[in-house]
Amino acid sequence: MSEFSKKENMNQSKSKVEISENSEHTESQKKGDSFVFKGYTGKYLDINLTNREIKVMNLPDDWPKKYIGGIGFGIKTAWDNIPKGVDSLSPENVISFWTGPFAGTLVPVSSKYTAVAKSPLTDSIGFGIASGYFGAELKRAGYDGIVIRGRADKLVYLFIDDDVIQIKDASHLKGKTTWETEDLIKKEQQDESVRVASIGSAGEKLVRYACITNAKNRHVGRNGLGCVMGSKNLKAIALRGTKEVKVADLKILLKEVKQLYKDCRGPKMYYGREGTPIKILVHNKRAVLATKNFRQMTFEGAEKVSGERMMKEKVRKLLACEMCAVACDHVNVIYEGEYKGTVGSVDFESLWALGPLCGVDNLDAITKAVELCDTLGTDTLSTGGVIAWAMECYEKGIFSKQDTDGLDLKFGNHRAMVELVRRIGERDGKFATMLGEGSKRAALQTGKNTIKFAMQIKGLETSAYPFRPMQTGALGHATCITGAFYQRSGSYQYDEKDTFDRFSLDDKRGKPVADGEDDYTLVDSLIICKFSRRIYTDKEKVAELWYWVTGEKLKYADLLERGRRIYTLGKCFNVRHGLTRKDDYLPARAYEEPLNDHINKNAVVKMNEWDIALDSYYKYRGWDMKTSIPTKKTLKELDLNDAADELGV
Amino acid sequence: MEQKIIVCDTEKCTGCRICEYICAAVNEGKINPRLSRIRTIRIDPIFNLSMSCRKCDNPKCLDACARNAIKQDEKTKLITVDKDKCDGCGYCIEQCQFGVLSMGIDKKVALVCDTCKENNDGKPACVDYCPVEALSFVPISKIEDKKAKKFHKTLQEGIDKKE
Repeated sequence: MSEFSKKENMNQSKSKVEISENSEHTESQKKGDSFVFKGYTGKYLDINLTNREIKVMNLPDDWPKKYIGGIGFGIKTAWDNIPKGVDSLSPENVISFWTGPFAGTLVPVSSKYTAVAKSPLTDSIGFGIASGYFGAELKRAGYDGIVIRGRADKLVYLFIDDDVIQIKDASHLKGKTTWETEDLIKKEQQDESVRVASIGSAGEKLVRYACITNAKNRHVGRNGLGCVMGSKNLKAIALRGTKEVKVADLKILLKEVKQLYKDCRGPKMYYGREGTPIKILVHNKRAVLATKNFRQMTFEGAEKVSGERMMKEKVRKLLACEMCAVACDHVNVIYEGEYKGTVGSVDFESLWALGPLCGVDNLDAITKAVELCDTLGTDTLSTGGVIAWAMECYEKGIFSKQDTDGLDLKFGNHRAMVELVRRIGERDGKFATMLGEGSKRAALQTGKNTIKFAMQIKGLETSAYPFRPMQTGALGHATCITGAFYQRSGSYQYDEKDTFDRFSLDDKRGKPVADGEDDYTLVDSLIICKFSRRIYTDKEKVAELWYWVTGEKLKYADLLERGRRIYTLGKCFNVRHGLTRKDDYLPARAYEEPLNDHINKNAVVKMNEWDIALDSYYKYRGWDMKTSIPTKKTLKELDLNDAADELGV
Repeated sequence: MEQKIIVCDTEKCTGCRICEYICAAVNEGKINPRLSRIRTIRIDPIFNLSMSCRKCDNPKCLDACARNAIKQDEKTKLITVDKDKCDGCGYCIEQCQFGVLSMGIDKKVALVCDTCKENNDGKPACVDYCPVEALSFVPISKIEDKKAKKFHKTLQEGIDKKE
C-alpha cells in the first residue's frame, strides 16, 4: 500500500470520529529498535474494552529468554492476569494474541499467531494457533502481541493501523459470517491488504467451541477462544502493518532459507501434495479410523471419503499462508449436486470429524459442513465430536426426534449432520443450543450415563487418534494441558511407528510424552508450523535460526528448557483453576468397552496400567504423583518462583 | 537479445508472498513485503498471481514522469527509476495498467522491478526462491510455446477420451 492511500484512510477515520468517540489514539513513545533481541518489536498493546483504555507497553527484557514468544508469552500473560475463580466468560478473563520472534521474518512457515485465555470449554488454560496472514502483519504493525481485558458495552472491532489504534463500532457486523466480516472491513478501510481475524455468529452467541478465523480458512480452532472474544463483545481485530521487521543477520538468513524453502517441498513433505487426508485410508487399514463416535475402528465408507478421492475429484487448488513453502491448504470447490457452490478447505482432522466419526461418507456434505464451521465460526473437531455423541444418544433412544428439534440424527445421515452444524453455529433451537455447550456439559445436562461416551478430556472433544489402539497417544491426550488434543505432544507418532506396544501401557511412556510436550511447546512458542518440523533433520538448525533472527547464541537444548518452563507454567495455571490428577483420565469408554475386529483384539486401556503410565509421567516431570501439582523444587529449578510460592508442594 | 520477463503460472502459485519478502530483502536490504517490486494478488477462493514489470513498449509510466526520472533501456526494455530525480508524485503508479509500480514507504520513491540486475548475481531473486517454481524468467516466445504445447495436450486428451 502506498503512503497516499494510508494518509487518505487516516483522514477518513478522523472524519468518523463519532464511531471511535472514546478510543484513544496512541503513538509509540520509544522506538522498537532499542529492544535487546531482534525479531521482536519489543512492544505490545494492552487494551481494556470496558473503559476503552489503550496502552502501548514495553515487552519485558527477560521474556524471550524465559518464555520465547507465542504460547509462552500467552501462558505467562494468563498466569499474571487471570487469578483463581475468574469465570472464563466474565470481563475479568484476559485474552492475549501473540506472535513469536520468527513471524514476519524469512524463516519458512512462520506467519503464525496464537490466542490464549482461560478456556470456556475446559476451564483450563486454552489456546489455539493459526497461520494465515495475521501474525506477520501484526509484527509489521509494530507489536509482538495484543492483550485484551474487560468487555465492550456493545459490539466493537479493533483497527490497528501501525501507530493508530481505534476501537470501532461493529453493530453493522453483528451476525455476519467470518468471511463477510473480513470482506466488509476491507471494503470499509478501502484496502485489500488489511488483515482481519474475526468471529462468526457462534462466537457472538457464546458457543463454547467457537473459533477465530483469519484469511477465511485459517483458525484458532480449539478451546473456544472465539467464545472468549464474543464474551468481550469483540467481533474482529483488523490490522495494517507497514514497518520493517528487523533480524540480527539478514545476509546469512537470506542465504540459508533458500535451501529450507526447497526442503519444504521435499519427498517427505506430503502435506503440500497429497495432503493429510491420505491418512483416512492409512488409518482404516490399520484399524485406527475412529468411526461412529469411536465404537468401531474401520469405516465401511472409507474409500468414498479417502484423501485420494478428494484430491482427484474435489480439490481445486493448493494454497499457502504467508511465508509458507509447504502449501497444505487443500481447497475443495463443489461444482454440482445438492451442495453446489460450496468452498471448503478440508484437512484430515476436519474430514474425519465430520465424516467417519459421524458415519458420513459424502465428501460434498463434509465440505459443506467444514464451510459452515469456517463461516459461522466453530471448531470442526469439537463440532464433529459433539454431533457424533448426539448421534449415539439418538441411536440409543436417549434423544427422540422431538428432542433433536425434528432432526433424524442417525449415523451417516449427512443432511441432518450439515443442518445440525448450521444450527449449532447460529444457536438455532433448544437442542443445538445445548450442543453448543460442548459434549461434556451437554452429557452432564442429559444425564443417563451419556458422559461415558462423550469422547472428551477436560471438556475438549478429542482428535482423530483413538485411545484404545494408540495408547501412548492416549497418554499425551490426557496430560495435555488444554484437553484432549494430539498437537501438544505428538505422542501418537510412537503408536504410528510402533516404538512401543500400542495396545498396552507401562512406566516407560512418561518420558517420551513429556519430552514431546516440551518440544511442541517450543515449536508453538517460536512459532513455526508443525508441518515444517520435518525439514529440521538437525534440530540445531532451529537454534541457528534463533541466533540469526534474535542475535542470541544457544543450543537447541537451551530452547527446550524454555519449552519445559512454559508447559509447566501452563500446568500451574490449571492447578490454580482447580485441575488435578483426576482430570488426566480418559472417558469411561476407553477403559470399559474393549474393541474387537480383525486387528484390535480385546483392545482396551487397563486402569492399573494407566495409573502406572501416569505416575511415570508425573515422576519424570517432577510433579507430585498424588495430585499432579508441580513440586516446589521443580518450579524453583525452572525459575518459576512465584508459582512455587503460590502452589508448590 | 530477446526480451525476458518474469511470468507466473497461476495454477502453481500458492500466494505465499515469499517472492515479495525476498525481493525486498535482496533489493532494499529490509524484511518488509511492502517494499517489494513484485506483487501477489489473491482472488478468493482459488486464484493467485504474482506480477512485476512487463517491460512494455512505449511504457505509460515513462510518459507520465514529469521529472524525467524514469528511463527504459532500448535493448533490454528494463525500466529504471532515478532515485535522486524521483519526487514520489505517483503519476507513474497511476498510469501503469498492471499495478506493478509501487511507492516506497520510508523514502517516497517509485519502485519497479529491474530483474535484480545489480543484486543476486544478476538473476531475479523471486524466481530463484519461489518454492513451487511458479515463477520463471523467460523470453515471451517461450511462453507462447509452452501455452501452445499445453493446449495440444488438452486437445490430445480430448481425442483419446473420445476414442
